[in-house]
Amino acid sequence: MTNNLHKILFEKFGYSSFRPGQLEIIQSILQQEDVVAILPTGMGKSLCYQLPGYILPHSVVIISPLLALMQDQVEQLKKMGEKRVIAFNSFLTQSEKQTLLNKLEQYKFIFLSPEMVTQEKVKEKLKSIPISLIVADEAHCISQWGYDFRPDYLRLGEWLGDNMDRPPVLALTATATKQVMDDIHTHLNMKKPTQHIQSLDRPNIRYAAIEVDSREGKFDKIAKQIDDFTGPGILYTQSRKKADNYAQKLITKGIRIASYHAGMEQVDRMFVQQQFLNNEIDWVCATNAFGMGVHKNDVRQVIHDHFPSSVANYSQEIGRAGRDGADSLATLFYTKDDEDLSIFVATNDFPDEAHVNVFMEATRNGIQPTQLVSQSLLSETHVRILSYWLSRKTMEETVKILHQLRLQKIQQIHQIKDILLNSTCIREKIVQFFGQAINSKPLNCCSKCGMELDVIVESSKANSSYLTLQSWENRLSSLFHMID
Amino acid sequence: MLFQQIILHMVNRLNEERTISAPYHLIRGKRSGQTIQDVKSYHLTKYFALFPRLTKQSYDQIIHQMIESGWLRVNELSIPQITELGEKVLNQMPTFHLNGWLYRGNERIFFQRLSLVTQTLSHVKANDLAFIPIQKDEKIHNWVRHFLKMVSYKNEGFIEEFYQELKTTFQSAALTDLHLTILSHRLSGYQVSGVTWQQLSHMLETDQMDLEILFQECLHIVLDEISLNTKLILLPRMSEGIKTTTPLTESAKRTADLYNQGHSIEQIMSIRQLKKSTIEDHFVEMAMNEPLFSIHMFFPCEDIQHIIQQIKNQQTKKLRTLKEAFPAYSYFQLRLLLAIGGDSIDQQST
Repeated sequence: MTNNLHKILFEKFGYSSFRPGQLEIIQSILQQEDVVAILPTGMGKSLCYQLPGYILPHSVVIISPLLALMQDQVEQLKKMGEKRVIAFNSFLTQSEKQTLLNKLEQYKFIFLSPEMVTQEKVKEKLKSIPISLIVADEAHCISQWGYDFRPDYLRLGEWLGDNMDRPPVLALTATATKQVMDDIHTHLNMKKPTQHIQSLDRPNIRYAAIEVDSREGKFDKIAKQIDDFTGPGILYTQSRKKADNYAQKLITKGIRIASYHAGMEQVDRMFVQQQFLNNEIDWVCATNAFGMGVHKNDVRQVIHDHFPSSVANYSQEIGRAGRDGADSLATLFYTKDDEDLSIFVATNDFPDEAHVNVFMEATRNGIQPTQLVSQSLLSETHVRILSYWLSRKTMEETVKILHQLRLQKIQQIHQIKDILLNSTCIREKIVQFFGQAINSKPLNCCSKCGMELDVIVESSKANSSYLTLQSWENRLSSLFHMID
Repeated sequence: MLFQQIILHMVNRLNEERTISAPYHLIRGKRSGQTIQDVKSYHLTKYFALFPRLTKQSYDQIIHQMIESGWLRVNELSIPQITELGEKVLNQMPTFHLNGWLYRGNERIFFQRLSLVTQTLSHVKANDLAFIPIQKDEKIHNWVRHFLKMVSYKNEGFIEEFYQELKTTFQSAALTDLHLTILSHRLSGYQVSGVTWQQLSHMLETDQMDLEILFQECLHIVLDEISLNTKLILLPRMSEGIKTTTPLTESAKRTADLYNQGHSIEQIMSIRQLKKSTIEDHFVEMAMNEPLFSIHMFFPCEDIQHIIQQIKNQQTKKLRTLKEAFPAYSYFQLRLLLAIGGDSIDQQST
């Protein structure tokens, strides 16, 4: 059997070997076991259900709580030439949903958002079609002890609970705390699941947290690091404006860099990804909008100029480095008052009681929420969050939930700050946060354990030239590979 | 600078009869009765839907800068007026081959098709079909899939043919090197990355908005060229449905259909569940755009040509002023008269 699996791995996915843990997980799935699989981010979780999909006779249903993640996985499957893949989410119109629902069984990979599973029509259809495997992606979202609790995910358990002879369930996550694991077992109604737990540590990523005196000083340090040490790299910053500014300043210093944020046209964002993948630029200066869908294995550096909004987001972002296994560096530059700024950014656009009142008042008077946005009474984010909660909870409950969530956001920033500013090993702290202990530390582990930068990253190479424009005739013939 | 000149041009045309929001709605391509009427009455068809994504914030910022530069004034009623300095700036404006009213934002759909077809063919030629489509819209995916099947893209020589058609079209005399540099670098393919607006702006040392205006103009010229050159086979298929065939907005078209079936305004209101003012907007649109549309039913026993002449004598298109001069007519009637009396399409005007 292993031979066969290797054959599919190579033919369908183009890999000659499995990453740690993948083979065991796939074997358990094929033996019809329920599986809880814990793998670090970016280390090939999706392969664990994609490959069995080509062996199992029927559809694989994947429940995915993050829309962007879902879209990326659909795109990746399509890119491999898989046509039998469908994303079923709230972006579809009613009639599109109906059409797709009618022929749902024709799809091999069916992606669903958690709230879709609870819709009667969808539920009924899922009951009537043969399913070989159900996947709960980002399964920690089911636990309110997890850092990213999604109440809708709980209904997934209700659905699985109703279903006596259901297909096996695979729960995937990068969190291994006991509470979260327990919640996954109970809420997903798992039957004696086999656990496959990989170390969440990424030993080839080295951590540095460096304090600087001032904002200006920070930029100079970042510029120096980018100038001294090699890319490809990602420089994460907090705002669109800053991303543009940094990039502009670094371009004038001769760095091949482009900015990337959600304020840019979709096509522009794709262009930056193309340039990064084609090694036409060495650096991307981005907000947290960058990452999903960027499948580049040789990222050598990730730099932050701020405290990210949580430990989970931090490890997501730095986890984009070193996927090829080679040494990589994650550096975070901070000043003393950066924590306040991060808290401001995280909570600034988050609604509170006053916003709830504005929203309710408007609803009572038959005013559309979009009007409130155009009158600048509420932001789009306010409306999105308030519509979500107020359609599920009472006003009082919503106010309470929002208050808790706000506190949680602040606490999450304290957590990441504590880890980075503590005098103990950053690696140890991060792995502990996700419920594991580390067995060994690499040499040059982190800035607390002590490290020499130039051992980890090479000094930057002589710059090849930055983008140049071609004549339109040349450009056209290179697009179509015409020899003129 | 081009963008500011276009604003000045609009302000100039609006003749101190509209507020500073009017150009904003027009540039965004708002399909409301008022904006559509402005397009026609003030001969601003070129600029309709020039920047559908323009935010009020950036618009206000640009207007603010223009006031600071002393190019225009905005009075306490929010009505803009061009200054002498502004007129000098306006006089420097090049003539644009824009045709916003004809394409109404659909030129972007044409570009989306073009960019995905180009990306696909580029990968076909390189024998590597594993790529992430540059366009995310499923409708575009389906269109391109269908198109490529229909033209049997796998046939020997197809890519060469497509490439030659593009090349021929791009040789149009109306297109400048700058137009084509922009357009060709907004396309991407196998190991050929696209170039972002920011990067283009930096390398061409030209304001990003101006580049986007030139890009739009380039698409309009290309589309015109495609419809004129009878030797082309593939590109006309790619521009199917891009040019607006009915001059009416979709909603007005539905009202017009009901009206032509013999329904009254009141009946149309109840069938379509729309307010009277909306239906009236549609009738004004019909009066403006349909040469055969008669407004006699709204003026049972009067000489319409005579009234129109009287209105023209007032030398204003401002409704409030006209209402004061002709209190006997309703606002709706006055708008119909203006619509009929307004000059016909101003495609060639600058």
